[in-house]
Amino acid sequence: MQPKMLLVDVGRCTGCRICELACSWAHEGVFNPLKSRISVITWRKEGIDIPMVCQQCDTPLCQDTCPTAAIFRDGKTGALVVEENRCIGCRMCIVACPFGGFSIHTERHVAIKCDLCEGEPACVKYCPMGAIEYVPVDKVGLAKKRAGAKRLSELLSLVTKGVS
Amino acid sequence: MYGWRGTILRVDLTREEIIKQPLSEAVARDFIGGRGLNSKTLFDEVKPGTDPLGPGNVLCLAPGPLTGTPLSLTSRLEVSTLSPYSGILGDGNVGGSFATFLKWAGYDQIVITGKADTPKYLWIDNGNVELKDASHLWGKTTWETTDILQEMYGEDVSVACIGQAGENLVRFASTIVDKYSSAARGSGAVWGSKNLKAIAVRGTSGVELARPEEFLQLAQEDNSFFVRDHMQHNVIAVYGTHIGMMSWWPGYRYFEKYLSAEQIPPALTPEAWKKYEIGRAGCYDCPVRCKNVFRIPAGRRAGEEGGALEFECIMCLGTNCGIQDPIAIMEMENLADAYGMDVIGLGNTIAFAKDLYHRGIITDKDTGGLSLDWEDADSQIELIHRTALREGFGNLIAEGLYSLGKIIGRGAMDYCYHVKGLSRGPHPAGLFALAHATSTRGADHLRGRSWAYGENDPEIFPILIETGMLPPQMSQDPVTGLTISERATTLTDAIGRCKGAVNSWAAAVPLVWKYPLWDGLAKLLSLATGFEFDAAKLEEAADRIYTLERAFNVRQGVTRKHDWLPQKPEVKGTPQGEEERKEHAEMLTEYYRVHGYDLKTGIPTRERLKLLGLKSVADELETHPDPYPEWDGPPLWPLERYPHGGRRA
Repeated sequence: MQPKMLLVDVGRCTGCRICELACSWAHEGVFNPLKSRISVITWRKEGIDIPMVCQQCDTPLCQDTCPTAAIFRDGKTGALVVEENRCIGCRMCIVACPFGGFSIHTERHVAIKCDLCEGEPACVKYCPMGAIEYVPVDKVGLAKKRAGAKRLSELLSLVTKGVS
Repeated sequence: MYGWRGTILRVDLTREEIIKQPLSEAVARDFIGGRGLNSKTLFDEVKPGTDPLGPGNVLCLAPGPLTGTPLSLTSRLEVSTLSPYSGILGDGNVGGSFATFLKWAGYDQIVITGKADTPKYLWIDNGNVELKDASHLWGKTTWETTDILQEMYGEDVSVACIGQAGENLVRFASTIVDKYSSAARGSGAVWGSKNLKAIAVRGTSGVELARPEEFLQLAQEDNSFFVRDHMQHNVIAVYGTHIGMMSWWPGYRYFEKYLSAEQIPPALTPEAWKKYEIGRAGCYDCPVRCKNVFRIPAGRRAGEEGGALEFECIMCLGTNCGIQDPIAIMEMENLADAYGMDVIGLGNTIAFAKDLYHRGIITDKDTGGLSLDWEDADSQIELIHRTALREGFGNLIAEGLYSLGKIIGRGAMDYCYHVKGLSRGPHPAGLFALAHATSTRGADHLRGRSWAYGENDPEIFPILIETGMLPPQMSQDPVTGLTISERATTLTDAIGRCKGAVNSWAAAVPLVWKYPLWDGLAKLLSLATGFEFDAAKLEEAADRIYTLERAFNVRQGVTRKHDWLPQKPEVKGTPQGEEERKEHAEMLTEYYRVHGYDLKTGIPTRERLKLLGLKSVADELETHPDPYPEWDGPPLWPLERYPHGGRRA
């Protein structure tokens, strides 16, 4: 089966952060964004909100960097998962990851990250704006091309109508 | 406790003492939180005769039991005090992220009493709470104060604070949260009177709910419904409250007339404001993003950005003052935020002064040579600076509409359009007038909401009922409709949810589109707190809060006499004017009957108070030895007693 990925539509995200609460609930049984695996980063003046979450890289720098080999790939979802009893809390994964995919649990002091909720991501389910999708990786490229083409066609139709 | 955090933070500034007090379960159940909790505290602790600007006043800040949960629109903070602007209960409800962080830090309410010797700020880092020296912050704007504290403690900290206006005890100074959100009714002056500059809060402990899984499912349904609602998605999320320019009839030149959509100056339409917008922003936990972030393109403050320009600013500092220049209006909005002033109190007080100026009741001699010509934006901006710093004529404006009229005399009060000190333009009798006349914080459009009884829009009203967007009970009779609307806004303020950004019934009462009236909210509250709430208990709680607020105002000298809407002198005493008063009197009597107030005095009856579990309130009102002195605005200070000055923003 093709692995699936979280695809964020930045244009739709309004920065309400309900995904953070849903994520912390799904993983920790509490509503607390500090324990969320997904975090919305806001540029207030620009009005831009971007949910940041592990991209589940094919060549994961975190896995290469981990000194205790605590990070492994889940066979079912393809997610990179931390085996907490092997994690020594050295935070090298945080240093290595270019996207901020990791954080440290405030009480257990181990690395925490998105595990795709065993194939049913809570952030996708509870986002009121539908800004996060869980889609097969091989479909993503085409879907994004289609969305881009739609924007282009709208632009072109404006041009042909002499509007811009 | 679930839902609530179970702790009240009490700060005695005189003794520099910080106490964590448990929240009683009975009080939580009876008053829910937010506005309910604050109004209860104020009734218990602020006795008649208290000077709002003296150390005896109490300042309360509270989120609600649903704040910080996955139910959207719940980052609302209720700021309540004995208002130095009106002299009665004064509360403001404000967004931003402060309420959520305060809740996550572990508190259901902050109660501030006494007065510090020297300027202080409060730093709340979860369980660690400290009073710290604020001498380096005193004299600074709300924006500078917020930046300094966030630089010190980090971006994940929310700041509520005052600017120079609060320090100078400007009577409509606001509490400003996260730079751009303003809690009005003069709470900012109470901070200033207590030498309290700011509260910075970091909260990272989250919130525990009794039945979280079910709560999350139900909240999710409401959240998803909400963002797809036409009003939210296509109107508020796009234009915010600017849409009011086309449908809410803003006043023009101190209520000389109200502007219809066709009469709105082209430069002030919702579409026209889009030119200055550089982004949109929302409060924590809210998917709507009703606030427009703007940049001033030209003039003195070219390039300066602002966080939210609301309809109220465009109306009160713009059209009602005769100003039509959007650039000037943006500049005034930023000054109001930075100095920390309420745009409604500021704008309408200036509009009143301008009206008196044109009538010749005040002259250049009073204003110190400052022109109060309707369209002179530069003079108005200068007057805003002087008001915040209490310089010259600004010292009089800073007293607020009602007191300004009293101090000037010379017949000025004939033109002072207000209800219990809060400005409100003259309006014919009807439900809109009744709602403003009876509101427990003075003239106000958010206690009994105009959208909720269809008077303004008789065509849409039945459609809203039919589609389930309004509960069918609303159409029974007008006063019942208003009462239901009052309960909705009271409960919304108590649970910590927003009623301003949204303008639809669905926001005020979660899940009303799915369940009979109050049932959805009762389910959510029960799942969150573990206590069993039902529709009857919620109605009772709303009535308990509202009646207690009424009783608070009765102690401040409010009676039936004050539940009137202003009339223009040219209408007063005419057959038309008398007819309006008669109609209003009849509606008022019916309103008192429904609310269980004495029909002659407007004081809640013993029977009613007992029914709501407020027997001790009845005892207090009855055993008071003398009649309460009749309300006549807040107690005045000699003008030279106020602090003044500070750096210009």
